Amino acid sequence: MTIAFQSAVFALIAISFLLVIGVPVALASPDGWSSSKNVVFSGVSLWIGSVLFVGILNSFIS
Amino acid sequence: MDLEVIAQLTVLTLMVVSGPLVIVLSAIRKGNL
Repeated sequence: MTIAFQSAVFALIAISFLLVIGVPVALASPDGWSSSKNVVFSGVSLWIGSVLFVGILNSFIS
Repeated sequence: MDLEVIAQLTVLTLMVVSGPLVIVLSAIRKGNL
């Protein structure tokens, strides 16, 4: 169970890093916000789900 | 050095580097800086 928790935390850190880089670049890109809107919304949804998943897994490790 | 310390320093480096990386990527894409 510990390895699952560690993997989930690692995934959360990786998604957070990608969002920290990607969201400002997408907002400042000349194509505009509308072309990358779906990717940003999917990433944010994945991030929120990942936070909840880490919180749930935290209850199962010693 | 402990693995934990190396992991913490790696994440800290990623966070510090991410700021200039946004500027560089936005400049490459000729974004609205």
